[in-house]
Amino acid sequence: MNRDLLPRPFILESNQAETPNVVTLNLVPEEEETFLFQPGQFNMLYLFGLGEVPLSLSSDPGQTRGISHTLRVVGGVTRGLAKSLPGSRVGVRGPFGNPWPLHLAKGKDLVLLAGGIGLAPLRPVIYHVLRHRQDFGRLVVLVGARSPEDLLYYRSLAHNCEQGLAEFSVIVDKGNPGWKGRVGVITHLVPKAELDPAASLAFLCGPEIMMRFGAEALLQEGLLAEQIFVSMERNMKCGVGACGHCQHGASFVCKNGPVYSLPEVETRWNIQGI
Amino acid sequence: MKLQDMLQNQYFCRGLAPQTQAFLLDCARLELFEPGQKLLKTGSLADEFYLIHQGHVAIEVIGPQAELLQVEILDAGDMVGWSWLVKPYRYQFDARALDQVQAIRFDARCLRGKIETDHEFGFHLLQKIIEVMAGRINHSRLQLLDLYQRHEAP
Repeated sequence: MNRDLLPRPFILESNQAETPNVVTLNLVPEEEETFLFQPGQFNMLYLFGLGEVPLSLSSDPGQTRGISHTLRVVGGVTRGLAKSLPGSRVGVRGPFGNPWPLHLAKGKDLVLLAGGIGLAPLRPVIYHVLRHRQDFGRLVVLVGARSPEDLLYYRSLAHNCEQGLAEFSVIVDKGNPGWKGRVGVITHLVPKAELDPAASLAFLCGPEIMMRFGAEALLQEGLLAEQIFVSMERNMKCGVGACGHCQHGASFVCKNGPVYSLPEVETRWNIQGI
Repeated sequence: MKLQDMLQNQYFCRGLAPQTQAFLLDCARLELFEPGQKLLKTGSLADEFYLIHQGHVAIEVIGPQAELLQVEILDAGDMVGWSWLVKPYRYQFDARALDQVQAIRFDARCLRGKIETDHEFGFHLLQKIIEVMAGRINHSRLQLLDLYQRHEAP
């Protein structure tokens, strides 16, 4: 049997609540010593008896013993995974898909534009840049969320910002009485970042509509479409481009993506139904 | 920092000719606001607008449950207030300082007078302001779209 189609057993070491409906699962392989992946890749997580879901890897790729997945509870499988107790066994297939093109970002400023749970697939990029800080210029992290309660990894990102390792800006659609940060939409943060368009590369992850307008804001700042990369989300099933569930135009997101350059996807973004 | 330098460094002034900036400077002065102090008040006469130099300003409105809603929070480089350009020149929202705010205040009567007498100045200024207004309308539309809404999935 194709090894890519066979789930390997992982043990849930711990889970932590990130927001009221977002949980990070920390998993370790039961049989293997290590699990290697690149930022931007995803796994298929199998909750035995319930089903399988595609989830981006959100842990430090330099930490090879265990992996993390941050998931939002949106249905039966994710609800089951979120409620799993430490010690539970979970099936893992992967890693699948192509990674963020970090090799192109070497020596350049890196701008990360994340909306909602879209920060999870970008977190390995942050870990990677922090591990190889001298290889990159500015690390600008722009995050949008629905409300202050929906912000992911806020403390660790703010800590990196305080250490001068990254520039971190947050904006929420709707504030609350205690919120002292920005209220508005993520595109508002782009001109404020004062980017050097010739020396920047941008990685975007979030709802497609957010990426569309985020990319537009970056283009307005002078970045070229080729300097902008997005991570697409589709209904991945097999993970190897065989079943066709994740088809996006002539491309299979699980195999040819999930990371694409803007020119590869932008023409399809405005077609209703794709 | 001199007021002229502050104005020149504003995002709003990028691409504005020195002469247009000089016209703006004629109607400008620096103002300080303490946390909680209002820059603009709903319903009052719109006789000024601001460019924020430092600090955060919340655009607020009383919501359907009589609660205070923050529509947007603006900060350094942002413009506050455009009701001074649109009749009947009354503010539609409150603008409140969230922390200590330094802002360049523009006298709207002074600017409206200059626009009336110097249409070229008016054209360049309005072009800039329309850029800001279009951005805000787009932001509001995106907020309405609820970008991060949750869909049911597996």
